[in-house]
Amino acid sequence: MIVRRSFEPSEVSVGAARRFVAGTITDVAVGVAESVSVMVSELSTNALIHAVGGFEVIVDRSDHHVLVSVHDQGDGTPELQSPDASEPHGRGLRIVDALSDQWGISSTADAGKSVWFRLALDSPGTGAPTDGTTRVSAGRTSVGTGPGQARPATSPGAPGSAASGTPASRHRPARPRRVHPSTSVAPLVASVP
Amino acid sequence: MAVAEPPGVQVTTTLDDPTAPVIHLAGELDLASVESVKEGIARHLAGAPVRITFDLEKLTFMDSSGIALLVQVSNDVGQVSLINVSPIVHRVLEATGLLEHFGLAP
Repeated sequence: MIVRRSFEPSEVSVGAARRFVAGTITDVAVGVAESVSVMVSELSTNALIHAVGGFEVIVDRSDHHVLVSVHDQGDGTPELQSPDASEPHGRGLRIVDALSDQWGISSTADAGKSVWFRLALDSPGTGAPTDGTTRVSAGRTSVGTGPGQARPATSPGAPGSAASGTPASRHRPARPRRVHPSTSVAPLVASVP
Repeated sequence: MAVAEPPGVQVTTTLDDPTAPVIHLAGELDLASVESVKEGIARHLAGAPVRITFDLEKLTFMDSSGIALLVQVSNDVGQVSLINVSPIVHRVLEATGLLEHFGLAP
């Protein structure tokens, strides 16, 4: 099941996006639903703060996973940061990194970008083990935007393969799944640094 | 005593000790409500408290916008403690390395 909805460039769209996505996963474990809500909130907030105009949320829901992509027209590139305890901001992607199984950033054909995450629904509470395995080895997450830096996705629409091998994508666990081609969460190209 | 009722979040306080108020947050704390919450707690900051405790028992949602607010208050006050933290908020604070900062056990 793939559903999408566009949201106005308004602060209340953050909550609206959460409720939209929550409506597609009403049958999952509470811990999973809560994680998804937080991540949708983070990506929607980033889209509103850093981009121009509204944003679109695309949800790809199967029996085994939920994959959410937030698409905006901003030209900025979100980066994984490590703010110290006194720095108020810069934790959005850190939270997505911790709560998701996989996430990434993709340039899109319309000059915007998609930031997406994927979370398995197989086991309750998945996505954020508390044993420290959620730490990121890469110090930063970024995508290149130069023409020479983009390459065709090997499998358009499958974020795992599209962003494979780039710091913009994390794999945990390494469990490739086939994603319906029309998902379009990693449209056309995956940028590499 | 309700001091602010913006859409999403209610702020109430227990003023047993003005130097260490307990502020109860209820509702959803995100980009849309964070400014209202900031206004709701401003008068407690004006009293130069040495410590603020946020009771999150009735807070149904919080993301990094809420964390940013708590960090800002912490910077202003010096000591901020969180109580009645939900599992998801605990996980988010853990992910961002702020558990100890807010007086929570790992």
